[in-house]
Parts: sequence; C-alpha cells; structure tokens
Amino acid sequence: MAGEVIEIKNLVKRFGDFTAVNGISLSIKENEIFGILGPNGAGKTTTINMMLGLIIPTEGTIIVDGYNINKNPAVIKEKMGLMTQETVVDGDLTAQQNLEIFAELYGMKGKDKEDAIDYALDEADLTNFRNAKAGSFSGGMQRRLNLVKSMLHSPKILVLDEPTTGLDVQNRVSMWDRIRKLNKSGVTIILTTQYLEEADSLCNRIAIIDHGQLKAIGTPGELKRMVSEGNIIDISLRFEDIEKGEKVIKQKLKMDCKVVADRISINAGKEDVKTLSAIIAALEKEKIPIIAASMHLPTLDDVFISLTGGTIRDELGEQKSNASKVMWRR
Amino acid sequence: MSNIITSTLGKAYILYKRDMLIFKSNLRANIVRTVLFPLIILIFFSNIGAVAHNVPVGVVNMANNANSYKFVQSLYATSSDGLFKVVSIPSMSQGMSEVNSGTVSLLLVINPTVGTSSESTGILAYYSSPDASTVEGILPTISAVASEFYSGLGSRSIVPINAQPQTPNTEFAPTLTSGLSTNYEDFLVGGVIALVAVFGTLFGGGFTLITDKQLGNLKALLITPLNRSSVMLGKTIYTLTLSVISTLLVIVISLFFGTTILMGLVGVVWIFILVLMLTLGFTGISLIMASRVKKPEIYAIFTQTIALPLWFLSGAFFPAASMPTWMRVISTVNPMTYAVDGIRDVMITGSYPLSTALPQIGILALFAVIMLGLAIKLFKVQIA
Repeated sequence: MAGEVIEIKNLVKRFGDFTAVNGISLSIKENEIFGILGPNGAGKTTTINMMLGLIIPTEGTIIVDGYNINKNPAVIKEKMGLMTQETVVDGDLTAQQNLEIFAELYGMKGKDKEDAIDYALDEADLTNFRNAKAGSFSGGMQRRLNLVKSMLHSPKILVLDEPTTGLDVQNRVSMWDRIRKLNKSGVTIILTTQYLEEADSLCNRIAIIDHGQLKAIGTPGELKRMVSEGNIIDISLRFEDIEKGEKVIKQKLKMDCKVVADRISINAGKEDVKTLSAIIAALEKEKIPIIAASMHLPTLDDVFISLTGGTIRDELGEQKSNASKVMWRR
Repeated sequence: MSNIITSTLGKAYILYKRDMLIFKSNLRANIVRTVLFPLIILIFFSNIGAVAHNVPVGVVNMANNANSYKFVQSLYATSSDGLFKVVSIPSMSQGMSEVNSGTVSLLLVINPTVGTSSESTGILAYYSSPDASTVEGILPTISAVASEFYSGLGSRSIVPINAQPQTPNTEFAPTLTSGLSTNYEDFLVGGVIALVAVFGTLFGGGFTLITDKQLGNLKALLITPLNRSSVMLGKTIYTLTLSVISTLLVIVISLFFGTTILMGLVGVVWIFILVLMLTLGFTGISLIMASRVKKPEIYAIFTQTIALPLWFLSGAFFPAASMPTWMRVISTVNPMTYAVDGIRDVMITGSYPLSTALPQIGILALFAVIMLGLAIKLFKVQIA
C-alpha cells in the first residue's frame, strides 16, 4: 500500500433543504479495494458522483491523485472509470462501436484505439461477437462489455456501483475474480454494495455511511472488533414475544441487547457458550418459545446493526415499499 | 482557448456520430416513421377538400340596376346560412387587391351588360389559387342564386376566372399575382414540409437526450472528459441532419403525388434554408425541455402542446385570411407561418424575391437566435 490516491475533506452536498452528504472526510489509499457501505439514501451515490465530477460539492474538497476536482475536472476524469449499477451499453450499436465511441471520447486515436478495443473485446470474451449488436447479447455479456468499456482508457481508479446486484451466483463469483484481477494489475477500486459478505471478502477497507455521515472506517477486522472483541449471540423469537424476551434478558440477566425485527442480538464479549445456555434457560422459564439461537464471531451485519440501528436489508426493504407507495399515488 | 474549441467540436462530432449510428441501425423504422405522417396527410386531406365556412365574398356592383341590386340582396340573405359572407366593394381595383391579399376569397363582378344581351359574359368570379378548393365549394350555391335573376344566361350565369383569365376584360384585366398552380395538394405540401421538419426536430436531439438520461447513457458519457457545449452542439447537429433527411423525404413523396416545385432546384435550396432556420429555433426549445424533463412521455406532451397549435395557426391547412382575428394575430407572431409562406411561394407561386425572402428568413433567424440563446442559458446536463 502506497500513498493516498483520493483525499476527501469535509464534503457537504445539499439539495435545497435536504443535506445528502454532511461533512464526510476520508482518504483512499493507492491500489486498495475500498468499500462504501450504507443503506439506500445514505449518500453513497452522491459521494461517488462528486468524486466523478458529475455533481459539484456544496462545500469541501476532493483531491484525486494530487489534482483538485474543482480545478482540474478534465484531468481527473481521465484517471477515473465507472461501472454503474444498471448495465449501460448502446443496444443498437455493435460491441465494437460501443467501445469505439468511448475510446474516441477519451481521445484515443489510430492504432492505440484499435489495440485498446481488441484487448477489451478479448478481456470480455466478446471477440467473436464484435460486430453483433449489443442489444442481442445476454445479460452477462452486456455486463462484461460494460466493465471493459469503463476500463478502456486504463483508469487509475475504478468505481463500481453495486457491480454484482442482479447477477446470478456464477456471474457474481466471476465478477469478483475480475475485480481482484484488476486490482492486482494496479487499479484502485472503489466499490459500493448491498452484500455485506461481498464487502467482507473483497475489500481491504470499508467506510460505513448513514444519513450523509461517516459512521466508521477501517478494515473489516477492525470494524468487527469495534462491535465486540468476542462473540455475538442471536436469539430469534416469535414477533409477539420479542418485547417480553428483551425484558427478560435486560432485567433478569442484566445483559445489553438490541432488537432487530424478530431477532435479539446480544453482545456476549469474551463469555463462552455457557452464556447461551443461560439465556435459553431464562427464556424457557418464562415460557417464551425460541425459534433459533446462535453464537458467532461478529460479522459486518453486526457492525451495521450497531452503527445504523438496522440491517442493510431492512432499510432497503423500507426504501422499496416507500417507492412503491409513491408510484401508486401517481 | 482554441484548444478548448477544437476539443469541444471534436467531442460534439463523436456524440453526433453515435446518434447517427443509432439512427442508421434503425434506419427502416426511422424512415417509415418520417414518411408515414406526410403520406397520410397528403392522401386524406388532398382528397377530402376543405369544407367552406364563412368564406369572404366581395361584390363589385358595376351594373347598379334594379336586377343587380336584388341579386346582391339575395346573396346577403343566402349568406346567413354561414357558407359565405358578403362584403360590398366599391371599385374593381380594390376588389382585385383584396383577392390577391387574401382578404376576400372570391370577387364577384357584375358588369352593366350582364343579362342585357346574349353576348354577355355573365358575372365574373375572380379568385386566387390558394383558395381554389374553397371557392369551388361555394360557386354552385352562388350560381343558383344568380340564375334566379339572370335566367337567360343559363349555365354561364357565373364565369369563374382563376388560373388563366379567359378573354381579359380590357378595362379590368385581372392579373393574379399568385396561383399558377391550383390544387389543394400543392397548397398542403408547404405546410407538411414545415410540420415534418418541426416534429423531426422535437423527436430528434431532444428526445434522444431524454432516453440517454433514462437509460444511464448520459451518465456514462459525462464521466468522460466532455463538456456541456459538446453535448448541446452534438445534439443540435444531429437534429439538423434529421430535418434535412425528413424534408428531402417529404419533397420526394410530394413529387410522387404530382406536386411541382415551380422554382426548381433553386427552390429546393430555398426550402432547405427556410427549414433549417425553422429547425434551429425549435432545436433550442427541444433542448431546453429535454434537459429539464425526466420522462419521455412528459416531454412528448409538452412538445405536442407547443407544436400542433403553431402548426394549425401557420396557415398550413387553410389560408390565414380565413381565420378569425385573434387567430390571425397569433399567426403573425408564429415563426412557422413565415416558413410555410416562404415554402409555398417557392413551390406554387414560383417566385421568391429577396424583398419577401429577407424579411421572412430574418424573422426565422431571429427566432432561432432567441431560442438557441435561451438554450445556452437554460440547458442543464442532469444525470437523473
């Protein structure tokens, strides 16, 4: 790990009365895979759009590879690539034409351009389909074309906005391999994802953002140790028993716990498995049926619960149901 | 500075090339879409013929005898049906100038000799060709009224004179300034060219900008080193190309329908100049709206609300002279009117002197400058 490739200081973005990003400062090191986690609407995409120069920050500075984004946006754009959540290719154009347009927009000419396109088509296993319309490709082929398109100008930094959302298991695993391979070749990768296990296995460091603020930053290990040095106990109960169960654990056992939907999460610290038996015994004594119980080392899911007060999926679900309400109203 | 200009032009060209490649990849559908509308309009409207309503009819009573007086009274009475309205005009020369300016569609001249001798030519009816189909619709009615008073004349009671005046009357030799060509189809073509150009414009660059925005392509393009001017310029050139293509297609179709362009190839050049000036103005409108609207549906509603009324008020279907005053006012400030008038002069009058061309093109140029100026000020590149 060398020096810092991106430095963000006191970044603020307001849209009217709404503050989407509220004073975020962080730095991203050269050649790391850096994850940005947070529920929808937390400010991830706004932060990324500011790094890419797509929107102008209300306050704060972003320095990319020594250049200030407000002063040298063009230089920075040459250094950065983006693959969005949605697959973006021109379906009416051939794979070759799709790549040509972007190569030319990045100022490539002649043999450089042709070499870059040949290499990209090869990387995406699309050499045999270069003259077929991208609209006729399968989802996986389009995604691969999208990835090599965003890598065409060999950016130093590649931003991947939920790169695996909507992919099946095989395609997801092969996408992870591609990401690791790119990183090995020297590309710094910034990744947002809603899959915590994906962030856990891919990222060197992770920033957790909620309500436009940076809640925590560190390696997955550091983040987990923040929650607990030891174990976490999860008890699942019937929904109507949750309140009663929480009372038992807090008052009778004098243990600290958090309720997440139908689950009680207890920080057991360095205690051993006996604690789990004690909790189960206490609940049975009160005739509260237990659906499931487990004891495990903290995961990023636990980190997320302790920092944002909900699981990443709860919040996603909430967002989605709000969105559908809005649609009905129209 | 010159570096920025070269790079802006270069990037605009790449964006233009992309839009054209997409256009080409759907070539057949795009051509059918462009051709379908003018085809339908020409097939239907040129066969239907306009229904006359309150057609202004001027009467010059040179005879001034009892019979002619009764005839005019009877005309007034018949006009209450709403088919035409009668205006009394004192002199022949004033009557002719009103026909030529379109204030009246038909001028009836009652000569003193009418009905007095068997060599009488009857009542002369002057009209100019843009009004031909309208006038031909009301002539039988007027003819019927006339035959009540001038029975001896039979079918010659009304002598229509339009294209080539028969036996020029020595005293009142009518010279029609417009109207060598006489059918409604020819009249319509000018309006259809203007409409297809404007619709092509609204569904050209502006529309692709919205779909680019919706599909995420705009975001993908904007993360490359690309500025706002390149996007605007690229979309503008693309739009102009589309309007040239669609104008060419409409001209070819109308030639198949038997329309002629009296000014020939020079006329085609004039038509393209008029269409491009008109298109530039509407490109400005479409860019502003496309950059601020998120959904193609909403964009389509806005643009149609603007374009359709402007089209109807441009005299594309019927002469501006037949509109009520409030519509005529809108028609005079409507840039499309000047393009339609100009195209029509080129195609069916056969002369487009600079004294007509410069003011018309000037107005269109002013419209273009204002709209593009507003676009430069109001155009926003938003990613969502």
